Formats: sequence, C-alpha cells, structure tokens
Amino acid sequence: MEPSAEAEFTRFVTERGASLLRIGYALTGSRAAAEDLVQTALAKTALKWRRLDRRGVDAYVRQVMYHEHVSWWRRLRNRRETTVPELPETALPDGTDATALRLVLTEALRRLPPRQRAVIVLRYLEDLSEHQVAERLGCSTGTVASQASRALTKLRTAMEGVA
Amino acid sequence: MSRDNDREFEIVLRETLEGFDGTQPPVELASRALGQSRRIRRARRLATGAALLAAVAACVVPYKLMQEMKAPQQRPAATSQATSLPGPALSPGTGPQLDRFQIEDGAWEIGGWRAAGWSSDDPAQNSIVYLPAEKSYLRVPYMGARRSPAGSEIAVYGSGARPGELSGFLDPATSQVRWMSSTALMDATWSPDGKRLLVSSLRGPTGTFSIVDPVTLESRQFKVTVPCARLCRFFWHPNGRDVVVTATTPSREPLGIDVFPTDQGPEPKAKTRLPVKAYVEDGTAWSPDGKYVVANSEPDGKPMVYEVATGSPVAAVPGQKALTTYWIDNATYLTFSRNDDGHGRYTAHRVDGTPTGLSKVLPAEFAWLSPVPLEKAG
Repeated sequence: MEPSAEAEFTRFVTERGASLLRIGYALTGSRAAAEDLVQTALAKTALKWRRLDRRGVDAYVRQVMYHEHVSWWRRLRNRRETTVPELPETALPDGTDATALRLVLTEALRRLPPRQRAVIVLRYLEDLSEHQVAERLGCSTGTVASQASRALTKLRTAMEGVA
Repeated sequence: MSRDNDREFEIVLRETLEGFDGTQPPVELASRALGQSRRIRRARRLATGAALLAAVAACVVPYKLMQEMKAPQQRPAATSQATSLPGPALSPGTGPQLDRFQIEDGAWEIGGWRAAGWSSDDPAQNSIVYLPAEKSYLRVPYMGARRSPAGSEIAVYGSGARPGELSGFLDPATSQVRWMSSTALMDATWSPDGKRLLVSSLRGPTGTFSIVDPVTLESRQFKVTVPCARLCRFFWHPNGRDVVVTATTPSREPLGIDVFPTDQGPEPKAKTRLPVKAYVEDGTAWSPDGKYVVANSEPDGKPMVYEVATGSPVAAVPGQKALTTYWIDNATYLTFSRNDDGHGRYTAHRVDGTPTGLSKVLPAEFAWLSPVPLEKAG
C-alpha cells in the first residue's frame, strides 16, 4: 500500500475503530475476540483498499465482519455445534433491576450461537430489516426470522428468570 | 408476553447491545491490520507460487523421466532398436490447468437462460465458465471469469499475485491467456454482441468507465461529470452501444438514469436522462423491449419494476438478491432467491410480481454460490 493510502486507512481506523469494535464486541461477546474480528476485517479491507469506494468502506468492513463471524460459526458447526439450550443459574450482583437485567441479557447474548447473535446485532444494534439482514448474512428472510425467533426466546427466558 | 413487555424487552435488549461499548480500540489497530494484510498477501503469493511450482513439476518430472527412458535408447547399441518417444509439449507460455465438468444435459437452464458460471472473487477458489461448444463447464484458476456471449474467449482477472497477470483473455482451446498491461477487468461486463467490455472505475465522486477491445486489448477511458450513485457502476444500455449510470445529487438522491454514448470522445455528455429515480445495478435488468427496468428504490434494496418512459414504479420485485433479474420475455422475469436450506433457485415472475409457477433449484455444483449469473441459451 502506498504511504498516502496507508495514512488514509489509518485515519479511517482511528475514526471508525470504536464503532466497529462495539459491533465486534456485541457479535463475539469478548473484547479479545472482537479485536481479532475487527483486525481481520480491516486487514481484508486493506487488501482491497485501492478499489473501494470511500463512501462504502464502513459498510464493507461490517459486511466482512459478519461474514467472518458466520464463517467461523459454520466451521464450528461442521465439527460440533455448541449451543446451550438451558441457561445456567447466574448469580446477580446487587444493583438496580435494569442493571441486573442487562447483565443477564449480556450473558445470554454471549451464549447465543454466533449466527443467532449476528441476527440480533444486525436487527437491534444496526437497525436493519429482516430483508437487509438476510442480504448481509447471505441467507433467506425465513432463516433470519427463525434465527431471530429462537434467539429472542432464549433471551426472554433468561430475563424471565430475573424479573 | 404482553405488548408492553415486548416493548420493554426490546428497550433493554437495545440498551444491552449499545452497552457493548466503553472500549477504545487499541492505538495500534490500524498498523496491526496493515501487517496482517501484508501477511495475507504474502501467503497468497506463496500459495500461487507453490501451485505454479507443482504445475511446473507435474509437467517437467514426466518429461525428465521420459528423457531418461529415452536416453539409453538413443545410445548406439547393437541390441537396441532406436525408437523416438514424443515428449510432452512444453513451452514457456504453457497456460493454466483447466478442469472440465458436466452437469445434467450439459447445462442448467430455465426459461431460455442457462447458468453461465461463477466468479469466485477469491484467489483461493476457481471460477467457472460454461463452454457451449463442449457442453461442459470449465474451472479456471482465476478470481473472475466471464465468457464472451459471441464466442469462446473468456475475460479473466486474477489476484495480481504474479506480476503482469492481473487481467486478460483466456482461450480455452489453447489454455493461453493474453494478459493486459493496465486495465483491470474486475467489474467488466461484455457488450451484448460480445465485441467489447465495459469496465467501471470505482474511484472518485464522479464516474469513469473504460471500453476494452478484446482483439487489440486497447482500452479507451471515458469520464462523466455527473455525480453517480454509490459505487458509480456503469452498465450497458440494452441497445449495446450506450452505457447507463444512475445519476444522483451530491447527497446521493437518485435523479434518473443517464445514458452516455461511447462514440463521442473521452468526456461524453449524457444524451438523455431516463426518468427512473432509482438505482439500476445490473445490465440484465431491462426487459427485451426496453419498456421496463428493475432497479433499487432505496440505496440498499427494495427493488421495483419501473416503466422506463414514465419512471413510474409498477410493482415490487419479490425474492432476495432480486436485482439479479433476467427477462424471459417482455412480461416475465427471473429472480434469484434461496430456499430455507440455503440452496439457490431462480423463479419466474410476471411484471406485477406474481409468480408464474416456473421455478428451478440450481444444481448441486452451484447450489451454494452467490447469485449465479445466467446467459441466453441457444
């Protein structure tokens, strides 16, 4: 990459890094995994930097992040899917109900299979429609709907244990 | 759960997701990403080099073995009858290994269209092209490959891992590639007559496109001054002579579809602006009579059929990836979608969006590929 392009890329990462990391964090549930995911997506973006329209770079990085995340899930599924049908009891810290709910929900989100978590993040953090989520993840709207439904059921179940 | 509870749940869920925050990215994130991209590039080059070495070895080793077998026979020996063993044709210009395969009765077809192949856009994966003369598909070791609608020549593009081998034209009969020195054929589309290629340059706030002559490999560049939508992608007008692009305001609101001539110098003026205020994104989006065009009504989706003369939306286009449309006749088009099991299929719809009943799942070889482009059969 030419020095001027590197400077431009670094500026982009400085401006958008925190936002991308938040999505990565919501997707993976772990700061370290989020950094790995964002870094990998940025590395792949850097490879195509010369050809990318600058107005669409942010969307492109997020697209790569979702694909990377779901690809990881597919590889995992081929070996052995590790879903947790019943959430274990979680000890709640003292504090307000809302804080407790968020903590439980955070834990429940972490336990979702990656694809279900991706659907939830796209729907409720990025505010995309089912159709747009399907486009991003390369699956049918029916799959998005069923994945969202399963995920929401798990999250609600986790919350009912607190409320 | 009541509606109030649903609302409360959604609010907490959104707050929770927003709460995955408070973490600033490491300061060295950009440099680490750049380092990783360099490693990926090096690995790709090594993989390409290894594949090349393997291919050379596959050619040279049998040749050497045959030479060794032949050598004793060439020595003068009273008991030996000298016989000449033909060696394999080996030249510095030996082309890539091309692998042919067949499906069904030669090609997958629906409504007069057949699966044309697929561009992997991945240096680690082969692309696929259909060869009508052989009634077989061909795997080619490049990121992209599209055969000319008029013949067998295939426009290919690679990763650029090997110097000078970025874009070119592959002759499947000889496996030879005529490499171009400059223009990248990444987003190239063949003209309907197969005599030229249109290449969009995705840089800059205004559009630039090139027309490539596959015979001379000459590339002519054109620059237009109208701001264009998103990636400034140009497509062939159905007449095969002009090119079109969605013109937008600087804030990317669509103004209409501009039609540019390709025979009036390097900075052509739009000869007309069609009143369709939507984002046209595919050269096959036009009905054969030019009456309708399929375009996105919003920057990221909601495709509609529009009447070209008036710009009026006629009906929504059903299915995902619906901009991948192919018109069977003036009143029926095919759209790509996926089954719940993920397998791709094409389904025919009338202009008003109702299905005609014609629908077909792609064959196993293409089932998981993202929209498989079609070409006119016959």
